[in-house]
Amino acid sequence: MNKKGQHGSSRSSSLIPPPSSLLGYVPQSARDAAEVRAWVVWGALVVGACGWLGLIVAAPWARAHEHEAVAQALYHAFGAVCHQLPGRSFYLAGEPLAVCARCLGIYAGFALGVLCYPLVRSLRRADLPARHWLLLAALPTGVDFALGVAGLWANTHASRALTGALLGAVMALYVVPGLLDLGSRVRARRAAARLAARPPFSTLEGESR
Amino acid sequence: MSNKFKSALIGGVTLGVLSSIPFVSAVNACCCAWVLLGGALASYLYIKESPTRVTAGEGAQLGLLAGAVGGGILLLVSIPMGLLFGDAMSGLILKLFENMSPQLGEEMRRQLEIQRHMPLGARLTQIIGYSIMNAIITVIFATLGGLLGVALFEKRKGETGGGSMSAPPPPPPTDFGAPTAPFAPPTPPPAQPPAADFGGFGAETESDKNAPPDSGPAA
Repeated sequence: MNKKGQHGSSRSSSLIPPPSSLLGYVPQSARDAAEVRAWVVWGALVVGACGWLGLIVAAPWARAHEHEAVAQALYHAFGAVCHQLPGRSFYLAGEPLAVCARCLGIYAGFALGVLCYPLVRSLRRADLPARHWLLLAALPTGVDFALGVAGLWANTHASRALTGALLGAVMALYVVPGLLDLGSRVRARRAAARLAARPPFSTLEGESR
Repeated sequence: MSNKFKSALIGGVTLGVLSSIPFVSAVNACCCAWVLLGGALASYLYIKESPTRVTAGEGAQLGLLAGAVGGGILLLVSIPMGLLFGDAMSGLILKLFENMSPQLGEEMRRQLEIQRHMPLGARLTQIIGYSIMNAIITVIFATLGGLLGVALFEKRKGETGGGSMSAPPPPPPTDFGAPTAPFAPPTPPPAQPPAADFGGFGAETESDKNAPPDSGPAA
C-alpha cells in the first residue's frame, strides 16, 4: 500500500504538458460577454438605421403639420447627402420626402438588411463577405442610372427605389461585421489601457509596508 | 506620425476640401460621394502600406478618423463661407430650381426671403447648427466609406481579425511584480528505461527500488 502510494506520487511529479486545445481556451463567461456586446452593437445599429429612416419621413410630416423650423432643419440636413429633386422623390402628405427615391431605397434596404442580419449571418463573425457580392449588388443601380442618363431607359421611382434597396441590403452585410469588429477593438483597447494604468503588485506591497 | 493617422489625415483633408469647394461639393448630393470616397481613400492608403491584412474594424476606425478631420475642415470653412457667399450661392441654386419647377422655385424664393431678413445672430446660429449637422453626417458617411474601402481594396486572406469575433484581451500577468528573469520550466525527470511490464499499476520500477524507506502514514 505504502509502496503503491509512493509510486503514485512519483508519477504525479512528472511534467505533463497541457493539451493543445487548452492553449486557446477562452472562458465561457468572456464568450457570453462578447456575444452580449455584439447584440448591443447590432441593436444600436438597428435603432440608428430605423431612426434615420424615420427622420426622412418626419420631414414632410413636419412641414405638412406646420412645424416649419423642424422641417427646414431636416430638409437641410438631408440636403447634404441627396439632391432632393421633387420630381425624383416620393411624396407624403403632399410634400416630398427628405431624400430621393433611390436614396430612400438604399436606406430602407439597409435598415431591412441590418434588421435581418442575425438571421442570415452569425453576430460572432467579424469577417466580411466576398467583395464581388457588393459589386454585383451595385450593378442594377449602376445600370438603372446609366441607362437613364443615356436616355435608353426611362427609369421610374419604383426602379430607382428597388435597385437602391438591393444595394442597401447587401451593404448591411459589410457594415454590421465591420462595426462589430470596431466595437470589440475599442473594448480591447480600453481593457489594455486599464491594465497598463494599474500599478504593479510590488509597488502596492511597498506602500503597505 | 503613425501610418494609420497619416492615411486618415490624407483622406480627411481630401474629403474636407472637396466638400467645401462650391459646386464641386455638389457631388455630395449623390449619397455623400466625396465623403464616402474620402473614407475609402484612407482605407486604401492604409491597406497599401500595411504588411498585414487590414480588418473591417480598422477600416471603420480609419473612416471615423478621416471623417473627424474632414468634418473639422468643413466646420472651419463652411461657417465663414456661409456668411460671405451664402446669398450668392442660394441665388444660383434658386435659378436652377426655378428652371426645373417654377412652383418649387417660388417656395424656395419665399424661404430665402425669410432667411435674408433674419438678424445676424439668428442667421449665425442657423449656419453653425447646419454646419454641425453636416459634420456629424460627414463622420457617419466617412466611417461607412472606410469600411467599404476595406471590403473593396483588401484582397489578402488571413487570420488577422477574420474568422470570428476577436477574443478578449489576454489575462493580466501573474508574476505580481517579480523580477523579470525569464521563467525557467521545471526540468523533466531523467529518462528511464522502459519497464518490462510497461509500468503497469503496482509494478516495481527502478525509482521504486532506489526510493528511501517509506515515511508516509501507515495503512
